[in-house]
Amino acid sequence: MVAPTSMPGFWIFMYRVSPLTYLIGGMLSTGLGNVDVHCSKLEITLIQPPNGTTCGDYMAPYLQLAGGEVYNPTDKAGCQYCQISNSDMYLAAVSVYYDERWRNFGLVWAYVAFNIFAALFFYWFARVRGSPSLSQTAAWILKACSILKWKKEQM
Amino acid sequence: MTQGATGAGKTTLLDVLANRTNIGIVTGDVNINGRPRDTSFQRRIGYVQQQDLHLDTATIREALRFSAFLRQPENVPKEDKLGTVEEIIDLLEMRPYAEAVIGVPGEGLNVEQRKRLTIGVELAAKPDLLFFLDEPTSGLDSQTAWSILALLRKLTSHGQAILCTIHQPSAMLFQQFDRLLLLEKGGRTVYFGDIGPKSRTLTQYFERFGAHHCAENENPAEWMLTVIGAAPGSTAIRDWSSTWRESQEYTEVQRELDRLERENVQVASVHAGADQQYASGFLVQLWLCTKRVFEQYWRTPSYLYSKLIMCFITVRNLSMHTGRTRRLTIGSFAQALFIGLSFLQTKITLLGLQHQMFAIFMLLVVFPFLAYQTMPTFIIQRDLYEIRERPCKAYSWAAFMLAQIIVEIPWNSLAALITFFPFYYLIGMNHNAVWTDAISERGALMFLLIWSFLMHCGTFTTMVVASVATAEIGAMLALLLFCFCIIFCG
Repeated sequence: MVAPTSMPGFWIFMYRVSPLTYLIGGMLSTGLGNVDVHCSKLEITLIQPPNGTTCGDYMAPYLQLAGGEVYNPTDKAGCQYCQISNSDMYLAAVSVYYDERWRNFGLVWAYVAFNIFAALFFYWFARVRGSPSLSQTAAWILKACSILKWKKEQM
Repeated sequence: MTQGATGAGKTTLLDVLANRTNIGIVTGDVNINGRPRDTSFQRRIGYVQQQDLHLDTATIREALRFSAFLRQPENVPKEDKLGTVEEIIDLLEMRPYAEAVIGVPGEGLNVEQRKRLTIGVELAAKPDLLFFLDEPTSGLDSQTAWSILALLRKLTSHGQAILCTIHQPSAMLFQQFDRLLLLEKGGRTVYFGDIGPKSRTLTQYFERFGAHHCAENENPAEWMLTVIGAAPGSTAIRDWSSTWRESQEYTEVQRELDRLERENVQVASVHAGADQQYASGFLVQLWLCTKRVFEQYWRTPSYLYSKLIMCFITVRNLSMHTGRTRRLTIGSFAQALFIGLSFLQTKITLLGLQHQMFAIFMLLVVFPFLAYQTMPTFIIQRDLYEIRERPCKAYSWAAFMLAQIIVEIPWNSLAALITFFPFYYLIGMNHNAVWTDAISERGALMFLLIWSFLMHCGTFTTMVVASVATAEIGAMLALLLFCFCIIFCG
């Protein structure tokens, strides 16, 4: 999973063009979107607050900044911190949004429609039209050259 | 009959007459009844190609009906078309095995039965102008060659005009023909005219110009080739093509041609549907083509099984993989109990989330396998279409392509259904939807997404394979494009 912002600049067009961007986006948001995440024991980060402060108070500014959740806000030692409270946060990091699930579904169908037209076009282009002969191609090039020359003279 | 040595241009001549050449420069006029060929010409002739190309999953009767329905004019009632097919089955003596599946060479129909079917398919179109046969006896044993020629003889007595090329017929076969066009290397005419009873008209022509006598027991076809120097080890005693140009027979042929040209211009009339390229309408073409591809799929169960099982197994693998996720979810559920948090929270851990994400990615990997499976069946249909059915204008390319796309739709939908249930419910994604209060919406949308994914697979495959030469190249290209898509999808 790579966020589009961290892709090498030139390749961003592939991210936009790839149908799987929208398909994956749709599936992730439909399947996993908007779910409360709860860290397992292994995933919990233990933090010791300074003496006398509750975990909730101590972690509050950090939670505001980075998100996540503290499971024992009233405790005064051994704060159990989980990086994520909701899967939307996780998905937003890779630019997948729950609200866009139906839009993404529609876009996949746009690709299907494109495929059908492209299939017909490619077949026609490569196998029905008949490839132009060498002399025809040469004639086109000459014609294009003469038009360019004529335009130059006009200027 | 056209005869000549290899390279004399027999097949080329046939192709030019049938308007099937697309290379080289062709000059001269081709007239039918004094008029130039019109757009309907190619569907109104029969052209029996040298190779017997058939869809291996069709039966004989189906192949004949397909040809009859598409290539006979639309105003002919259906019963008549079916009647023609039955007549042809009787004429070609194929009744005992009319329901047999054609099969691939080596299994299914034998060589002779295939040749008969090739002829039958062309006959089913009821060609009213001409019937071309390109080397119908090549590769057949003498017994079979004889029965094919007897069949052709039968057709001529039914009033069918036949033009046939033969490489080197036996004396017995040679006698079956009425007229001969003998070509020499380079395509120059050596003789054109009647063969005559016991080939006397022909042999007398050559003997008149100094050829050695053709004995009673000699094969005039071979004798003739020796005389003109086309047989191995023989040399021509003179330039036979210039001899022909100076002969009286040549002048007579020219005079006859002039007469035909003059007389027919007056009698020739435009027949109905002369500007129609195809005999049947587009919807009929589409319907019949789609029906045939469905039959092809249905009779290639291995393809369907592998398609469906592929989807299922991928899901099974996934669910084995995500079964772990599920256990982890349950595990974390237990842990959640242990640390005393609320029961009613979705127990999805960081790892669980990643696993489910990974599962969704894994589902997409099925694409290249589906593409590999689809491409060969497409290529089979396309070869058949381009080599045999397109030149005779049975149906249009658009009908062909759409039929290939349509046939994938129901099967991919079924595959989507098979994929969805185990995928979604074994992973337990339905639990994820509880908290947004959209269990049915999200479940349905997930199915729709999987469905659209498989639709995308099907149409993408067709798009890639449409223009490339072989299924292998198509598969490589599809994989490459798919990799690009999946690498950059986020």
